[in-house]
Amino acid sequence: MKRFHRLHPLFAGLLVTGIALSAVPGHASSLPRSHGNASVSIRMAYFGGPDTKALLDKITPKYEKAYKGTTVVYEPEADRVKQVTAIAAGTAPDVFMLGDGDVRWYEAKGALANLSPYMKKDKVSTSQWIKGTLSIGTRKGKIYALPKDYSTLAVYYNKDMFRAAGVPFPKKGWTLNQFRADAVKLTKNDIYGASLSGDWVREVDPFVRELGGHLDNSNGTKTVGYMNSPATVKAIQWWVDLFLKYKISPTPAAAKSLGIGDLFASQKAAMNVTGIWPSLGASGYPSTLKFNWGVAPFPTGPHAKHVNTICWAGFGMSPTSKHKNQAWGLVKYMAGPVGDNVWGTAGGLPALKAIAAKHKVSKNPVSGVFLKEAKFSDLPSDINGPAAPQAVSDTLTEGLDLLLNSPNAGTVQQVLTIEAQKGQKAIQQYNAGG
Amino acid sequence: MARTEALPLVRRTRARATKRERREALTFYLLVSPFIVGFLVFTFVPMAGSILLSFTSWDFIHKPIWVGLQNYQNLMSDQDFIQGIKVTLSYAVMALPTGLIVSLVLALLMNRDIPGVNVFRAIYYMPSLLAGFSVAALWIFVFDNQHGILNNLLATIGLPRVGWLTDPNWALKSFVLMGLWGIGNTILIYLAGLKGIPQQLYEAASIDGAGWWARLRHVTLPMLSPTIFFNLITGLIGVFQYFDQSYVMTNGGPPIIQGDQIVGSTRFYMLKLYNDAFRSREFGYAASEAVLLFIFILLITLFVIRSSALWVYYEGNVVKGK
Repeated sequence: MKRFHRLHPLFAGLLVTGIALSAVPGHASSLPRSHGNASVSIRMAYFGGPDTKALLDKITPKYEKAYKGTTVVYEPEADRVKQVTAIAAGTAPDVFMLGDGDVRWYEAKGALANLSPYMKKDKVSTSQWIKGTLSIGTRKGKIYALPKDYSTLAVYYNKDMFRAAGVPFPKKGWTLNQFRADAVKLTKNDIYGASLSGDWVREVDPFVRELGGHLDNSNGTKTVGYMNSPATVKAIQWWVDLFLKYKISPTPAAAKSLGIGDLFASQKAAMNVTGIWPSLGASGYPSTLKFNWGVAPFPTGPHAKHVNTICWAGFGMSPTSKHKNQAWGLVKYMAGPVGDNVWGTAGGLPALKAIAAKHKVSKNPVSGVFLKEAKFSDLPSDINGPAAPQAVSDTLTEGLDLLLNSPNAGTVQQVLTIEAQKGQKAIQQYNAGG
Repeated sequence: MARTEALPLVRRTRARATKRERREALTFYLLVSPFIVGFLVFTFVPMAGSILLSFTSWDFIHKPIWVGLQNYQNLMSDQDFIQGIKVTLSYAVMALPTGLIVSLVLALLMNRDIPGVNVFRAIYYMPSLLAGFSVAALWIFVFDNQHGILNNLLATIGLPRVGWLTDPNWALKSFVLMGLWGIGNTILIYLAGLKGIPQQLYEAASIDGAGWWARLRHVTLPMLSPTIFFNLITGLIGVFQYFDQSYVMTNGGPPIIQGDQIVGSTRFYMLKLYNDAFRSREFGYAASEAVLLFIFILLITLFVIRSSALWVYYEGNVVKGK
């Protein structure tokens, strides 16, 4: 008893320490285990919540049937930080769902496997994808990610408002100046001619390119001399004038303050320049709008220069995967006909020509317009290099916020010069970090 | 002679005490070991790791590359870093005294023995239970230019609307104003402090003819000074780590031109640090900012602690010369 009494504090301390340590999530316990009798477990990280998971569940059984003995374990990613942390910790998932802003950085850091050899081995031809949909996942001729879904930009327009204002409906080949002139005619009282984001660089980019400017060079390594070039300054001035001079769209702050959300759906704007998203799903435009509407292609710039952009998500594979064949198989299923049939009809446009043809997308008056724009989409300036999200997107967003919300603070030339230098510094900082 | 005779006795006493003390110490260390282990694993090691990382360039994927003091040198010419310091210091200068004074005044009001005072205490405390992000979402509506409560109030009394979060001259002040929403905790601590002041001190002061101001100055504030000191220290640490609201509500904006630079008028230090770590993924660079922030908070806290001898009164203290 005496002996026990002497050991008591020691025992108590060890017990408490043991309990505390058992609460610490260990490396081993955080790893998924194989389910049932499956011999291989493939981990795939995804974003998008329960809706995306429901779509993944449509694809999984077909994959698991084809790859017998393989089970897919899905891991929801609340944000990219968790994904990067997992890569750093050596616990990267076998397959990633990727946002378009991540691909260049992941590839540059060696976190994505080159898929080209696997595609060659399995005779997966790149020609089966619609032009423009592979550009984000391709670097120096090697494919690092295959498309999940995507959208280009087009213009939704309210036919009733156009008729009431005596403005002809926009047609293929309409120009930027026609777009602006129509929007001016349609702007009256508390109705705006168009709903534009104002500071969303992905939307601004094709306007700038059509007007002859560039936000950075083609591989995202230079902003000075591009973002502040005379042509870009002129293009951004054109853009800023839409808000401040012609007042065809509320500025971002004014739009937020209106508290309406979708100005076009609320009939507070006659046009909406955006992607295919508002017309998807049960609450999409086709089933909810109570007025006549249509979709027009993105306007064409001077000298018939037509440029569009692409908003994209895709799939990549970790080079550290221990089950590369199964992981590649999952990428192939996700981005191939089985997956594209699911994604291309629920989350955006189909990337495979065969799936687009199967669903007769090109003949659809809504999705067909977006699909036809895909061939004009170029690699967006804000994601064409590993540092471009900071060097182009962050800087130009800040510059546009200043120009649109504090018009007297500085000239477009002055603001873009500062932002171009800031962007260049971000690129240098990235390069210095290796 | 007496000293040499006493020495063996002392030694024997020490030897007996040491044996018991050793056992007690062992018990103590074993019982506090969960905390010690937790502190070492989750606080000390990451802190030491951050200090080491601050001398490296690390993208989180490849092995860190030793760059010496390069990160610290780069920070000195980083306009956003300098702006982060300016914004955070400006906020601290405005928010800290405002919060301390307003919460003290409210605590004094709620320390009165009047019916229904507990309801007021609950009302003032409740907002502090809400998480930072939800408070930020709520205040976005309050500060809205067109439909916000504040601007509607201003419009009702014929005053012009204010761009609370969109006007660079107002954005930081709006955060100070919003900070008053969460002073419930500080009020609660003040109230606890006020309840601890012996009533006889007030009675004695009243007998000596002291009015409410004299009682406040010569009884309440000196007796409450340890509580004020505590609130000051925790407040200081809090203001220099201000992040949630600026991230959600303005993300550092609205931007302004300063000389030949464009900077965010609410780009707090922590927001800059977060962006460097998790947006630019320059973890070594962000670690150097974290180390500097730690050193700054440490120094300013030590300064306040050293200064406390001049203005904090503890009941057990014996004042020299009296």
